[in-house]
Formats: sequence, C-alpha cells, structure tokens
Amino acid sequence: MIGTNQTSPQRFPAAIALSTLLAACGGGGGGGGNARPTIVTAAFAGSGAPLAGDTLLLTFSETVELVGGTLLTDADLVLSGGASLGTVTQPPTLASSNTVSITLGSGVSFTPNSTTVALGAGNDCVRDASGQLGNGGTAIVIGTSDGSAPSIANVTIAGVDDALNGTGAAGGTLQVPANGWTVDLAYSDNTAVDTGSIRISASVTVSTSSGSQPPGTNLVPFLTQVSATSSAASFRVPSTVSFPAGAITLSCLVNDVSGLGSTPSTFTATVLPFNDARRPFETTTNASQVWYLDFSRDVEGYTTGLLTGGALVSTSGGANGTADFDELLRILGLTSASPIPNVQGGLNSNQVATARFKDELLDALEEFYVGANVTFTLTQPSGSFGTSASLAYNAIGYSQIAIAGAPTSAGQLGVAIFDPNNPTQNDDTKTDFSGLRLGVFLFTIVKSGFEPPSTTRFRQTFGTFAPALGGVAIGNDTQDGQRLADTLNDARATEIDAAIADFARFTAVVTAHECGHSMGLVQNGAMPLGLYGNDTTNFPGSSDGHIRNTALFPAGSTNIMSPSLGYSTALGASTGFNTLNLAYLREQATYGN
Amino acid sequence: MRTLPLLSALVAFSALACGQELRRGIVDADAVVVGRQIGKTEHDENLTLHRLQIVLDVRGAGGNTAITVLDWPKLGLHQRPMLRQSRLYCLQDASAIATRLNLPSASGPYFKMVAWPGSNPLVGAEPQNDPAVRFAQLLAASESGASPTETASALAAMALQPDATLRLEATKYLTERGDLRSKLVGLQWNTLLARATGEVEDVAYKTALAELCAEQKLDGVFDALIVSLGQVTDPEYARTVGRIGRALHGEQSATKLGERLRGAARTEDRAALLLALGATNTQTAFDALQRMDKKDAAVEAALKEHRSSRAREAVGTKGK
Repeated sequence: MIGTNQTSPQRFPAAIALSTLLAACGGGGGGGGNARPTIVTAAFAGSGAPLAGDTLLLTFSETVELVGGTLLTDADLVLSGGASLGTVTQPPTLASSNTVSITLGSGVSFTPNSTTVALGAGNDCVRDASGQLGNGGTAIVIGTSDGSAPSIANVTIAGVDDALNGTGAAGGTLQVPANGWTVDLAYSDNTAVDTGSIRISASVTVSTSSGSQPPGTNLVPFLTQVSATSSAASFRVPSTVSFPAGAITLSCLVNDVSGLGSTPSTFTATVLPFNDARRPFETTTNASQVWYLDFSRDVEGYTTGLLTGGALVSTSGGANGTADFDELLRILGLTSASPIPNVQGGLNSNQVATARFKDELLDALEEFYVGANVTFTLTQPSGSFGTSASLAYNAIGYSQIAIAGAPTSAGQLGVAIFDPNNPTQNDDTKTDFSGLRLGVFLFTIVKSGFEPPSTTRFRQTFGTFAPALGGVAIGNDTQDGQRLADTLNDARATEIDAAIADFARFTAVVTAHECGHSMGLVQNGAMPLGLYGNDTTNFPGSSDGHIRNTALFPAGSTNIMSPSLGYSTALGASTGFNTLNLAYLREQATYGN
Repeated sequence: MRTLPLLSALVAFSALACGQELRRGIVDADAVVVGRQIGKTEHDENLTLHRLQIVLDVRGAGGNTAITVLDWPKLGLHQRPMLRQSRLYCLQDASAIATRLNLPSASGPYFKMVAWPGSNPLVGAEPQNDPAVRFAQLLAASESGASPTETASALAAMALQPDATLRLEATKYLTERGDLRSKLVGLQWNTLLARATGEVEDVAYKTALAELCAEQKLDGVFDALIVSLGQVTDPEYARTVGRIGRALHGEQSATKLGERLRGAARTEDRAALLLALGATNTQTAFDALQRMDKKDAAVEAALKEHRSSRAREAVGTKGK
C-alpha cells in the first residue's frame, strides 16, 4: 500500500489530547472557535524522484482559500528529514475546494511515501472560509498519486435512504437525538480508500468524554466504528458523545491509499435530545418495550362452504370455548380434529404445529425489530389494563395485541391504537373500542385466500392441508407425526414446513405493522415533525398514518408500514420496515418538537 | 388507531394505484353510494359522525338523501370520509354500534366504511360516466338479477379497456367468479389470452390476466405465458407463471420451462425462466437446478424460489 501513515488517534490517545487542546485553543484569525484547517492527505503527482515543475497535492480538512499574493513554500510547512519543495515560484492553485496544488521549484527534495508534511506556524497562505489560517496538525506521509481522487457517493444518518432523510424530493430535515445514531458513508476510488483516515466533523461544538470539541474537529476518534469496507463505512455516536440541540452539518472526507483526498460531503440534520415523552422506549421504568401476543380471543366460530373454484369461509355464532386463532388453524389444515398423540415431548401433532408456528412468529418479529428495544412474549406479564385502552408508560410493564379472527369492518387485517412517540402502553386486544375490534385479524386472509384463483401462493400452500380445499390436515396422515418430529423428510414434510413458516411470517408482518402503530408509526408529515406518513405526492399510495415505499423495496417485497398488504409480498425476503421507520424504532431518529 | 387492510392474495401490489380491491369492497358492502361529505360532528373523543349527502344510490341507501358514516379519529383508519369530496362509498351497516352508543336515530341510518383498499375512489363531476361507478353499477345489477352472460361480457369488455384500475378489477372479478367465467365464449377468451401475452407494461394487469386464463384452463395458456418471460423482468410475473405451470401441468411444467431455457440467449430471458422454474416447486425443477452452477446468481435465486428444504440447503438459507 502506498499512502499516508497517518497517526491513528485511536492508537495514540496522547495525540488526541494534544490535537484537541490545539483545536480548542484555536480561534485566531477570526475563526470564531472553529478548528483550523489541517492537511489530511498529500500526494506527489509524478513518478520517480520529484523534479521542478512537478506537482504536490495537499488536501485539507475543510474547504480552504488561498491568500492572494502568497506562495506555499517550505516556510509554510513542516517537512520531515530536511526535505524541501524547492524554490517555489508559482502561486498555488485550488485543485478542488479543499485540495491545493503546488508546482515544485528547483532544488526540490523529498521522498514520496516517506517524507511527512504538516502546516507550520509560518503558514500565511492557506486559510479556511472564516479566514482562519491553518497551523499544525498531524504529520502526513506524502504518497504517490494514482491519478484519481476518491469520491463520497453518499452520506446519511442511521442508514436512512435519501428519499427519507431530507435530501430527497419529499424535503424535510432528518431529526436525531443527541447520540445513539450512526453516520454512514458510501464511497469509491480507482484503487482503494484508506478506511483508517476517514474524517467526520461537525459544524457545532460536540461534547465528548475528552471535553468539548469545537466545530471542524475530526470526531472519528470519539465515534465507534461499526464497519469500514472498501465501499462503505459506518460510525456510531456513542453515549459518551452528545450533539447539541439545533441544526448541525456533518462534513465527511475520505482519502485513498495514494494520498489523494475527496472533497467534503456534507449532511444536514436537526438534533433534538430525547425527553421521556418523546423517547419511544425510555428505560426509566421499563427496561424495554414488551409486547404480549394474546391468542386467546374467542368471540366466534367459522364454517366452510362450497364456492366455485375454491371454498367459502364464514363466521358463525359467538364464543364457543375454542380460541378463534386455533379454529382458523383448523380451517387452514395446520391442525386436525384428531391430532396424533405424543409426537414430540409428549405433545400431540396440533400442539407441535402450533408451537412451531409461534416460534417462527417470534423469530420473524425479532428479525423485523432487530436493533430496537422491543421484545415479544407469549406469556402475559403481570398487571392488567382493566377497562382502559391505554395506560401511562410507567403504569404497566407491557402492551398487548390479540392475534385472532374476524375484524369489525370487512377487509381489515388489523387495527391498533396509534400512539405517537409511544408515551403509553396500549391494549390492542379490546373487542369494543367504541364499536371496533382491535388486533390482528387472520380471518381476512383465510377467507380471501380460499377464494379463486387456485394458482395463488396461498392456495398452493394451504390447498394441500385445508379440508375445505380438498387437502389432508396436518395430523390426519398417519406419518405426520414423524414429519413434525423431523424423522421423516419427504415432500409432504417440506410442504408442512413451508405452510407453517409462511403463515407465521405473514402473521408476523401484520403484527409488526399493528404494533408499529402503537409505538408511533407512521406520523404524518415530513421530518422533523413526522415520518412522511400520508405523503401521497412523494410516496404514492400512502395514506393517513401509513407510507408506501415501492421504490425502496425490490419487487416482491414491501414496507411493513404500507397502507395495504399482499400475501405474497408480505412473505418477500426483503419485506421489512423502511429505513426511517427502523431508525425511529432504534431510537436513532425522532419526530416532533 | 391504525388499520391494515388486505390486498388480493394473488399478486404483488407494488405497481398498482389504489383501487385494486374495489370489487371486494362493493361485494362486502351493505350499501354502495356516491356521497359527498357535508358535515362532521364529534360524538366523543373516540367517535366522529360524518354526514354524507347521497349523490347517487348504486344500491342499499334505501331512498335516504343523507346518511351518517362513523369514524374513529383516534384510530387513524386509512379510509375515512374526505371533506367536501364526491367519492364512491362502500358501506357496512353500523346500526348496532349506533344503538349501543345511543346515537340519535334522527341522524341515521348509520354506516361504517369497509376497509378494502381502493374502495373509496374519487368520483368525477358526472357520476354516471365515472368508470368506478359504472363498475359498481355492473356488479350491483349482477346481484339483482342481471343476466350472467351480459354481466360476464361487460366485465370482459371492461377487462380490455385502457383504465388501469378498472381493467384490473374486472379481470380479477372474472377470475374469482367461475360462474361468470363460464359464460364467456371462445372469441372473448382468445382476446383475453392475446392481451395476457402481449401486455408488457402493466405487470399487475398482465399477471391478473394470466391468472384469469389459467383459472379457465385454456389450452396452451402456459406455453403462451412462458413467451413473455424475459420481456417482462418483474419477478412476480415469473413466480406467477411458475405457479400456473405447476397447477396446470405438474412436473411437466418444469420440462417445458427447461426446453425454453435451452434456447434462451439473453441474460434476462434466462433469469426469468430460471425463476419461473424454481417457482414451479417441482422435483424436476430442483433436479435441474441442482445440476447448474449455484454460484450463478440466477440459479441461486431460482433455488431460493424453490421451497423444498433441499433447495434451501443448497443455497444455505434453510432455517430451523
């Protein structure tokens, strides 16, 4: 590797302390407390030993200006080992907003890939936009240019897509808490980016464990590197670092291994530190947001009837002593009226199939909410909602949702309380919220799924098992016990696995959607006031409290918080929350004021 | 409170505008009207009463010139009466809720909106000429005794019209109604199949037409649909063709796709054919894919599409 062997602040804490001190003490020249510009990478643009007329490129930590009538010579720099730029006679020029090009003079003498350079106290040539002359900084090894500077393709926060981070057509400004979020860069170069020299600075003073860092300070030493590859890097702002409330602009630079640097790429956001009311999962009283999944609702029964090309599923009567969820599993053929006893661990085939469904449901929910302080449980925690639909967040340790049968209004897959910023625990098991049932309504998908056409994924999956569709229910084939116990692995065993997995995943998508509402998704309006819910202009097909992001998901997958849901797209491998919703759930973005 | 309605189980909705489940809304409704919201009253913090002037009674309004539609403001239902707009409303009787909540009988009758997506489309200045209204009237007439042959023919004609939403609704409705499908004649089926094979822009529509023709088990439908694989690169179409093949031809479907695959020169043709092959979920398909280079992205995608545990193992995606 040819390039800069820049001192790594991570490895040399003393270097951090020194540079911090220098930066903090800066401010001369009208800089107003900003860090002074420093050289971040340097490259000799030539081959062999440098000669008069060759070019040296110095890339600076920020956009710079050149003082008119001055030259950039040895007197402005600190060169190692008695090196010299020679007798420079031509004024320097700006090769980019932050890179200065120097034409070397006669007597030039330095060794590429060995000689180091930094700005010296005598610099009177290079200054930043506020007029502050550069001085000091870490000594940088002069590399040999590969001819092409690296470029930063994208900067964002918390991995939020451009369409949702304020830089897209939908407008707005991404709002983040004081810390906890990531800065994410995507970049490229014709050879390789030096991931150890990535630089991120802010337009504001940032509080760190080493004290306040003035604007322009390289913050990377204070951030936690999440990843850094040849094309992308991510740095988390840890709890020991805090950004102040208000507008911020992050400025990022990358260097390649040949000593060339990118131009600064910026990202503007708004910081609003959390308070308990706005933080979705404040941990003062509850360590996490717990969701209890309640399968016990029993308000009706179901019948099946003839329908050309399918079967008609209808509700019938009232409570009958069997949970509606269990009855729908029977209709689907995932369980049997005559289960096979002692299939596994003393459980019969119905119990094994149901347990597998619930395990897969929990797995899928965990996948969708990965990184969020949210857990799902099948065991009801202590405490009761009584007649209340919502209780203060600290009044009870969980929210709950019913996974059940039919909705109040035709076509609903689920209904839940909308709880902006999640200040309350919510009971989405109510059966009479001013006349409406709350919960997840699996009857809707079962009923429509049994209808023609017969070539849908739903029909091809459950037609094998649903008695009303001519199938043989799991447990009605004598070898199903072996299949459920994984001791017989034939084609039907595969179909059993697929049916249970599909229905569990579909249920998980609907459950994730409804629980998402009850944790604050998707507030209407652009950031910082909302999460772009109901923006039908920029996200066609959105509606009140929902956002449809067709362009952000591959064909066959969907945003979980879309206003409507197809069975096959729900099962898509890339189905999930959009990046802004996920950032909100991970407490890396916040809305409101 | 928020609700999540269901789209048809058979297709992805990614390319569609609203309106794709209008037919379900019409069928499930107790009343279908063109209404204009003219007033709003808050009953309590949980319930709002919207007064609707009836512009056109498609069916079920019982001669009333105005009705009340219930709305739950805290529930953020994604379909609710829109201020001063004329829309088609698919409504369910809410008299039981009204009685329980002691709503004044003078403001009745009371309804709530069905939740099917697209079941509340905006209606133009001339309701009688609005495509959604005409579709609703066609279904209403069918329910009240219109000749099945006439209804089927009208739907077939609607299924070939330019209006993207209505042609999709008509196509799906025919697919779901075997009794009406049976009334269509050979010429109509030829036209529908030709459109199914020729359409390349509106993939959702093409997929719906493919499902319709497959449901009718038209001769040669699978072979005709295969031709578009590659011309249409949307994976949902390939998946649909694969499922249709399995439903109509079983293991033989993989053989047919394999024959076509051997002559596929273009990368996109090959990728689409492989995906359809995987989607047949047949043993023949798995055996064929197993013999191919699993490092080939298209082969890997096809194996992922195949739902057998052996296929999942082959690409390292088998869960527990």
